[in-house]
Amino acid sequence: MSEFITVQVGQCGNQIGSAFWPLALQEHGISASKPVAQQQRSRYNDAFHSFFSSPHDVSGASYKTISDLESAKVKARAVLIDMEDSVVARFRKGPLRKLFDETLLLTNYPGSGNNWAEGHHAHGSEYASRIVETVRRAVERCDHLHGFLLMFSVGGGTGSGLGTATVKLLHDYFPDVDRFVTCVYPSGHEDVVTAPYNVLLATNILLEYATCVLPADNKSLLDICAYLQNRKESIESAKVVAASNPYEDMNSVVVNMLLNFTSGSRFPGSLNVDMSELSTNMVPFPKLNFLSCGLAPLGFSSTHILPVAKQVEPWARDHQLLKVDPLAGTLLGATLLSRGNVTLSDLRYNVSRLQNRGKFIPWNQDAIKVGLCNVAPAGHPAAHLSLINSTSMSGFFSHIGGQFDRLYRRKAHIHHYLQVESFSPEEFITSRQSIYDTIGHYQQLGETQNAVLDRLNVV
Amino acid sequence: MALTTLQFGQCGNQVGHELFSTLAKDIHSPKPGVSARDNELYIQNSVNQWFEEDVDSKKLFARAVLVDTENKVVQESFKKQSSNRQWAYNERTCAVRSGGAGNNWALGYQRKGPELLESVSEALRFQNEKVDRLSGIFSIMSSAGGTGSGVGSYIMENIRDEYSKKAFFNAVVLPFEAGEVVTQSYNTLLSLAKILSVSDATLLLQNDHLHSMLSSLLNFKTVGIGDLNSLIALKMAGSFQPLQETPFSMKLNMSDIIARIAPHPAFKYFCIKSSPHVPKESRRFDGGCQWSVLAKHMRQMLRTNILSSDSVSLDWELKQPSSVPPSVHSTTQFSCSVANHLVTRGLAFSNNQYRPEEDFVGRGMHPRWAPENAAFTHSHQTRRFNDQDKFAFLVSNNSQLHVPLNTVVDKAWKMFTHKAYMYQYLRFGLMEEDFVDAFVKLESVVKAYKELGKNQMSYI
Repeated sequence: MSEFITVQVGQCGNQIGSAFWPLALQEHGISASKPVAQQQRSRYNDAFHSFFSSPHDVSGASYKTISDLESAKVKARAVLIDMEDSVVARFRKGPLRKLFDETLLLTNYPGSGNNWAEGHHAHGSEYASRIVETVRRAVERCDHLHGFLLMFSVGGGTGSGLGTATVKLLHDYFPDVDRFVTCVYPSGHEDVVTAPYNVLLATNILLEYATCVLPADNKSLLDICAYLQNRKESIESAKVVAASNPYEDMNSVVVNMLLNFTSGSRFPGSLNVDMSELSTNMVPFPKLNFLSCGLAPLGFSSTHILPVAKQVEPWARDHQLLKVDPLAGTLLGATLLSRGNVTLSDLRYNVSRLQNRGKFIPWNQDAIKVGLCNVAPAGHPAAHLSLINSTSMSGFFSHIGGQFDRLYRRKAHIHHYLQVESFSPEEFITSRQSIYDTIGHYQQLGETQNAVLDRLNVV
Repeated sequence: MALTTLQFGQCGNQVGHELFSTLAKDIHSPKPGVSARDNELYIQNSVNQWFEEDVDSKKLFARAVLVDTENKVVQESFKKQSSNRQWAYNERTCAVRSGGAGNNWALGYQRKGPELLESVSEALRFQNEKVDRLSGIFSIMSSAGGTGSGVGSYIMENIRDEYSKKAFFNAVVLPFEAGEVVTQSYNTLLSLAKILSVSDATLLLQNDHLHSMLSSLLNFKTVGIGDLNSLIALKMAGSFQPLQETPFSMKLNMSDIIARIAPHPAFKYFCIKSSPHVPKESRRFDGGCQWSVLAKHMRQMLRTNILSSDSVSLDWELKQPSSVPPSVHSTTQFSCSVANHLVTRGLAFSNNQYRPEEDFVGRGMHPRWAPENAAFTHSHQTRRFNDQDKFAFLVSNNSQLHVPLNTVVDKAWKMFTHKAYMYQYLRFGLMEEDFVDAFVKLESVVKAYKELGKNQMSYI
């Protein structure tokens, strides 16, 4: 089975991580708090090794509780990096504390002061060798490493700066291993004044060095949570909700996306999608690696939900983790991943619906990749995930550029960045240019006409 | 007559598994409808062709080599067979390298293929050493992804020399046109071009077509991948299981059929049409039809619409045979065939009743250069197949095959002119010229098939 190493950087990254691990365990029938009913226990225990390593060569079947894991010395394949001790410290105290390997934790004090340059350059170079060493320790425990899952926010200093520095390091030291980055964008109302700088500088690095980026923004996550909150009250009687509620907060939404995203690599299915296939399918040109992800169902579903295929539209605007309407632009590529009780016919139905609704790029009218995984997520009969590479992403980048320009025009707060020794003021300009180039590329693709070149004529 | 089957990638391994299950089911058929002696002979021939038999336990071991870049599917195959008492794979004959081929032909061909070559050749030798006389190697793969297409074409190309005297043919499952993999057109283009120069004949299977057969003909409400694979396996088994010699039909084995169906280096593709497919629930009401009706129905499957040459608007394989002569639209004509081979299985076929030659020979059905007695052959087997009294298969190499190939070239060309996804392929050492070469090769195939039967064409 393929293996993944999660790399959680900064406060936000580690918070996502703290939501990730209990849910990942739940998929294997191990609950952090209460015992899980026998029948819910996953039959596919080989997949256990995707996220966990154990010194003994046993299948995951023998683990039922957290203490089983502890006594078998099972460890999460997770690297935790933070420049402030607080969140990682919570891991050290939490119920899953023994799941994390002390040698894979990297903390320091003080933080990066919401300064990308501090995180990226100062901490980045100071900790480079330790980060590489720590990651290598985790890599050495893998047999079939498939990819790194990186989680951080791009608004602050540590996640944004050190997180992107880590992406760069992984690119240099492990070039053959894919780097999937889930990053949380600020909604614009946060208390971080320098967020526009951090966001733009980080985004530039991600365009260059990440294999695929699965961005989320706080506004969308909040909306999704609010929607779920309302739904919960209306179906109060549904006991199912109480039994397994994977949508506790915004982080869980991101985690559910990640679990569905990796399900094809971890579990068997009639139409497997490996993570390594993703960039081949979704990134037609370098630097167009930001994908809009949508989840369906968003809400709780008991076993008697509406017919799966007819109702869900993971590509719908409200289902995106980012405030982008993927279907508003030209679609360069789309991936539909379904897991659980979904048939090929359901999938074909979804494909044809998406093809009717979306405007695909003229040179690839059927740029859809599909996947079917047999194993449903915990507590659901089925789930769908859509990943779309759309030119409407240019709106998102324009926003990043606009926010940056507003601040940069007045050269506000620049001195904090220039204080950092290895940061050159040029970086503001080149990073900005790179973002605007990408916007231009998207716009150019959006206006693409059909091929003018005739096919080869053979005699 | 002994064959070794090479299963490449997820699709190849699933189809291969299904094929051997279908074969084993056929071998152990409870109602063969022939004498015990004939049944024994049939079983012996079939087992020799596909399996090796364990002397003590009588258990059948598939003569197959399993190749994948990712072990989940292969593991599933081994898991499934632990509950299967009829047949099994030999554990020594699988070659798996983890990491996947990323839906990228170049990654499969340039990197994963070379990594796997040695273990595949070894596994192949291990299988072949146990056979007295190996007659051919049959590869199964899909063309959409990276493993089947990339690793598959690399391995086929590189073991060709070692088995240069053997029949070398393969089955390629073409992806759904609406999209399975975004880069499927590139992958299909590149693998078909490579395989073209290596393989003696290539069976094309179209997922779209199989899907419509299941939903419109067999009334499947929902279609799973497994259903598609079963249908593919049924078509393969029906065409290639042992045949018998009768006064009116020839006894041909699989390599004979392949040699007859692809007699010309420019025309190496073929498809398998089959009938009747009757939904399970209505099978017991089905009285069955005359062989002549069935054969005429199969002939209709060769019809094509002359008005829209790029689409087969009338697909007779999606209809049930009927004894009432169907009205034939004036805009259709028979597509020209390089060769057709009709396989009939079931109730005796008596000489004075009907001769299929009458329907399949002449009247522009074949190009001028093809001698009539070679362009159509008929073989029969009295043993019942798939628990049906009559089942017919038409192994056909005809002009219609240009349609799916043309679609692939068209889509790949559109992407290529915009250089989309190219960097992913160049990254693994492929060059733009490699693409151009592949386009040239496939374009000439498409053209040759399209113009097959047109008088002005000369192939000398």
